[in-house]
Amino acid sequence: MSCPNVTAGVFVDYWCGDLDRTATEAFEEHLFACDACTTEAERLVATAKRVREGTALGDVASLILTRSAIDRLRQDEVPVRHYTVREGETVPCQATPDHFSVVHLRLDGPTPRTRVDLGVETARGEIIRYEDVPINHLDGEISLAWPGDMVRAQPSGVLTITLTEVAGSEKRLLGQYKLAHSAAD
Amino acid sequence: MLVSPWMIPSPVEEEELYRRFARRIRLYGLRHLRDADGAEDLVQDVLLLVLGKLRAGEVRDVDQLPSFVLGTCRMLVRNKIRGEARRRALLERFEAPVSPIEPPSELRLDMTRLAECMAKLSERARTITVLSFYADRSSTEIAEEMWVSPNNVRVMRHRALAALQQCMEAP
Repeated sequence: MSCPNVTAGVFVDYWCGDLDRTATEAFEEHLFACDACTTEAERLVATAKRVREGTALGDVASLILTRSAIDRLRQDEVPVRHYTVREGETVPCQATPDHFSVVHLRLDGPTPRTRVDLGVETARGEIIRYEDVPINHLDGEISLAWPGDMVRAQPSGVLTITLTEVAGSEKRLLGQYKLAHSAAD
Repeated sequence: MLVSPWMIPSPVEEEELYRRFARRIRLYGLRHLRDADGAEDLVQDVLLLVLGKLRAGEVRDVDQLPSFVLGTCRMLVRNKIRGEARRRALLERFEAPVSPIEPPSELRLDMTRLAECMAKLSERARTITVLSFYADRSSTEIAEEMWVSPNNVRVMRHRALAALQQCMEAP
């Protein structure tokens, strides 16, 4: 059942605080009288709750994080292991009980304005690709977060992370970053 | 009609009042307080106040009941936020210990499915989803961090949410 008076985007705009005061108050007046919109809003809240709890527990897929998401993890005291890697460096890392391992890849030079792809070659030789990754512009880095289960599943060995700038059919290597991973005993 | 004007509500009508408005008040509380316990308290407080007014015959236009309930929500949330600001100021002043982490809800939903569905989103959509629903960032704040327009964030967020819901509700 859907309400003909409210467009789908309004629910998420309302929940995320993107409606101005007048629109917020008008939507709430409607919500308190409309069963269909109440049901739809509850559906949104259930999804938001899953995302919130799943993220706090590290029960989500790998993520590219920005500063505010990292700040929130810190504020919530979510166990996170951080590694900062510069282009050409190899940094030791290890499997831990943490909910996430976040690898901060420092970008040399100006931040690319075009698409950047990220590839991880694991010690097993698997390639994991991440296309058009968000850049943490405030810090000039890309922060790749792997859930704990994903980290703990890795064997000991070197993981190579490659960043590539993509503009149309042109590709340019931005840098390679390495992690020397020690698996859990 | 839920409650006849000028009449004290019967127990059945009170139950109907609860059934109709509790979920709406809970939604309002979650949206404005961002706290499940606070939202449940709000449900109880608002319904007690509204029932008190109805029993006292102070709500005369039944058609205005939704607006009256909403108005009560707004008043109580404003008071609660003011009280919370005072409490925080006191905590900071006296350097009280940091509140413990909120324990995960007993309503442990299907997190494996969540991870699978999140993995199907694009990198940007996944980041925006986490920033919106975990970090509680508005489209303007996300746009500043990601160097995209707020409208772009809103469109991507809406599409990501629809895809996530469809995936998670699939049999």
